[in-house]
Amino acid sequence: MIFSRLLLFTATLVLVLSGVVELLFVEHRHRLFLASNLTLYWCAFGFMACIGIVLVSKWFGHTFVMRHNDPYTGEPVLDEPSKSSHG
Amino acid sequence: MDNTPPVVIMLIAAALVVFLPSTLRRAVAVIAPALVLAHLTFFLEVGDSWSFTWLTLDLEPLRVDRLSLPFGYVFGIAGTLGAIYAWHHESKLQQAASLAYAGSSIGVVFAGDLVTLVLFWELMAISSAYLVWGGGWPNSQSAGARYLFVHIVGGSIVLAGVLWHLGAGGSTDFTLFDGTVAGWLILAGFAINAAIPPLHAWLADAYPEASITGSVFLSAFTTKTAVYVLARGFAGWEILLVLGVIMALYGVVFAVLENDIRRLLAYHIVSQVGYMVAGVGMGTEVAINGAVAHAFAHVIYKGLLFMGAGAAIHATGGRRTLTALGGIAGRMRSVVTLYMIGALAISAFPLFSGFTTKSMVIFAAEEQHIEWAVALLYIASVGTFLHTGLKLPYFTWFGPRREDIRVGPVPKNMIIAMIGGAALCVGIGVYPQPLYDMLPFANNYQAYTADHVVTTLQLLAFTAIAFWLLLNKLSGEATVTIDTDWFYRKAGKPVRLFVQQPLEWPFTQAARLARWIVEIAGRLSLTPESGWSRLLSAAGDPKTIIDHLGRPPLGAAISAIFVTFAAVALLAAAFD
Repeated sequence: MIFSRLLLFTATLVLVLSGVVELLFVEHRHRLFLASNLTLYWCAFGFMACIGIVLVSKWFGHTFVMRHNDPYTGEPVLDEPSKSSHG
Repeated sequence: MDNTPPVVIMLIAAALVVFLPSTLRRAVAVIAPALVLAHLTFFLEVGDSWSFTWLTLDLEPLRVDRLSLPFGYVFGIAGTLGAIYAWHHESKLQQAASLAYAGSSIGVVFAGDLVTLVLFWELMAISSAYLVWGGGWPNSQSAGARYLFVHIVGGSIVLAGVLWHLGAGGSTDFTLFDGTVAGWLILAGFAINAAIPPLHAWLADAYPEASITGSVFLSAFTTKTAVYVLARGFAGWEILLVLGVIMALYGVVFAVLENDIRRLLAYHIVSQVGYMVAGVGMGTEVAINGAVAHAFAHVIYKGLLFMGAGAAIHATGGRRTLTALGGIAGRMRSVVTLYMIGALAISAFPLFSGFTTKSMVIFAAEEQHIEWAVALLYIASVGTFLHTGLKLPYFTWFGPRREDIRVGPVPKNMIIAMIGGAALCVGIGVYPQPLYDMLPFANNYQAYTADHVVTTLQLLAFTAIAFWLLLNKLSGEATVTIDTDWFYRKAGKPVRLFVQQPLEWPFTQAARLARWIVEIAGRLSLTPESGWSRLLSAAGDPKTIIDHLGRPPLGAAISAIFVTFAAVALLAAAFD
């Protein structure tokens, strides 16, 4: 819970402070995408990109490349820790 | 001393440690890379060179310029910190292999000619394979063999390219290549070491199977020497920009799927090296500076991340997956704190090293108005923070406290090495000027602008919010992910059956025949009487014949010889 509260607090702080600073002081050096100069654009970019990465990767993984059995030995993959002799 | 190639120091040390007692061995492993740093600082300077002609080849084992020097420095730092981290490790072989591996990487970056380059390139592959073999995990042996196989193939492709280049009248001088067959061959060989997909799978396959200390070394050298040789030989090749951006995203996607913490970090090496390869592909002064600066910062923060992950595995007695870890942060606070400094550095947080280096590559793409690359590299940055900064630490250390996990002590030397790495991550982040001054070209880039700080904070804060919302989806899954190594791992069986075995057949048959002849002859001469009678009564199969011959009474024969000698000696003494 502390983690969640801290995260929300920080994000709100960043949202407000960076928005004010951006409006007052920041001259964007890149004029790449039309929207990239909008205030708080990079909040939306980070949020959407993160969700996109997770959803697309998980879909890709579950559909194509993730296996519950080791594809080379045929044995099921265990949750158990594997032991190193002298790692 | 002035023109001694730094690799010499490392190779002498590697040979020495085999003969030294434990404490001295450890000291040499730390001092040798530190000596390389001193040598680079006090004796070598830009423009220094050592060259000679051998047979008809012009060789230059030492060439110091503004491209090789930053790599030399960071390899010296990585070697020193890695050896401190491995101080408690007893294995002679691992220490010698680490020194030879770090040394040959340093040999590559100061090699002025292609022949010396190939020599150290191969030595790098062989010495690093021992770090994988020394892992002690169930899959270390096979993963090490695959690792060596891939790098031997890669080295052979580089060698073929170099021979082609020389055969076509090219000079031995290692400089920019053109688009000839030789150039493309060499690029393919370098691409294997740079872990450019689809030639990257060796990295995620082998690094997590290495020893905890070995993977710290592995994370530093192979891919970054590849970045160096690409920057030297292929700067401005546009295909590298495309491949670099693909790498940056590829690593991120596979890191989402990964459960093994060091394999997750390994995929993020692919991703981060993608930025450097993209910078090399753009080829402008800012882009090359960015690639080199990011390689420098990357070696240090990636080493720190592998050290942190390794400390967790060490303390928990070998737990290495997200599903097997969690809820132990309170019992290893210093490790978590130091790991998080590395995580903030790779995520390019303001005041940490990635902020001052990674952004140079993106800035170079912005300058050239390559919009698609800028957008995709920003997306990869989000993925980097998501995995290395949030997912890995959260599921490795945080979450509900788990009493079932026993947490042992972490050796002090590990913590000291991590403090060293963390200090450099913060140092480069707060005051990047010394690093900027070292770069190949004069640097006009300013990392600390209001724009850069604000946009980065916004990007990362809202990545964290999205992570929090998706927390349930991100926990580790006990699965194995298939990557492009599937092709050569599955091909192994048919290759063994249809290529290797037919080729070996005549030799194995000849060897068996020779063994039978020797064995039968040996037994017949030791027990001639019973041997011959048994031989004559046996069937035709040599194996059955040998069984029929029985055990040779070797002990009795030797005793008989001994007794005879003693009798003769007594007789001789009596009649003397």
